[in-house]
Amino acid sequence: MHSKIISLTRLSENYWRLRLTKPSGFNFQAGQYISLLVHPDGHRRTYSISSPPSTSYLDLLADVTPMGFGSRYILSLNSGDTINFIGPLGKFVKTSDGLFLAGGSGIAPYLSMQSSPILWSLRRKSDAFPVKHTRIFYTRLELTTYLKSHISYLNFYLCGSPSYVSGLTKIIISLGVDPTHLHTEKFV
Amino acid sequence: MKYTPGSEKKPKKTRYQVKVIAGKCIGAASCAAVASMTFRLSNLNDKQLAEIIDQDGNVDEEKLLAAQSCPTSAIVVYDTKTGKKIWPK
Repeated sequence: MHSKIISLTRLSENYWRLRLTKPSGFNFQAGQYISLLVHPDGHRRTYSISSPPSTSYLDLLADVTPMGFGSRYILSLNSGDTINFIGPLGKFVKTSDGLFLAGGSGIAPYLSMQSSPILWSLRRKSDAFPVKHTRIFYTRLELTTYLKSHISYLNFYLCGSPSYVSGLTKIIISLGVDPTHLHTEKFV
Repeated sequence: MKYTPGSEKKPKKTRYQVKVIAGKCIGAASCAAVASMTFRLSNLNDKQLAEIIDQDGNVDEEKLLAAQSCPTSAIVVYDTKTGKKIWPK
């Protein structure tokens, strides 16, 4: 599947929003992602769609901190460039209300779902950009302390790196949450 | 290149053989999303890891795309005709 870059917007020091044309017939559910071809050799990287399904364009949220194949590719793009991707992929969709926890660019699916409240973990203050109904945490301790006093939610959604998701899963289960009410998505 | 998620046409015998390197897998599930008849996630020692359910579950093109979609290059693809590894390069 092909799409053209409409715009690239720098949201914070390392976070970029890519706005793409939506190919005709491309339908997705909020929370799904695409697999983007980022190198002529065939390397692909996954990016969650951060725009709601109702919009006429597709937004992707990219954290370029790693500076690997994906980051370098994203930063090389210009408006009008054509990109190649497969998708939509994934089953991380909202089935009920709850508390939405995100690590880094793991906030993207929640933006697409237009879900809140969001507890957003970031490494640096310079990575933050304004998102409605979102509380930002810079340390695990800060987040855990907050969770202990706000554990009254039935459902929890977790999206972020494997270490973020596995670490938070243990903490949330230790606080007495039924594991069947945890919905998780891991990515690199 | 036409992509069909989890081809419904099960190939009789595919040319590419895939292998999952468990130590590299993080359970991102891209492989299972792209080639759902070949890969699935299963629980192993409290971790969700990719496993192969059927070498011939998807056509070669889909199996290669699944491997290329893996963010940690945990899937190796061999061409059984030449005996050579074709992914990762």
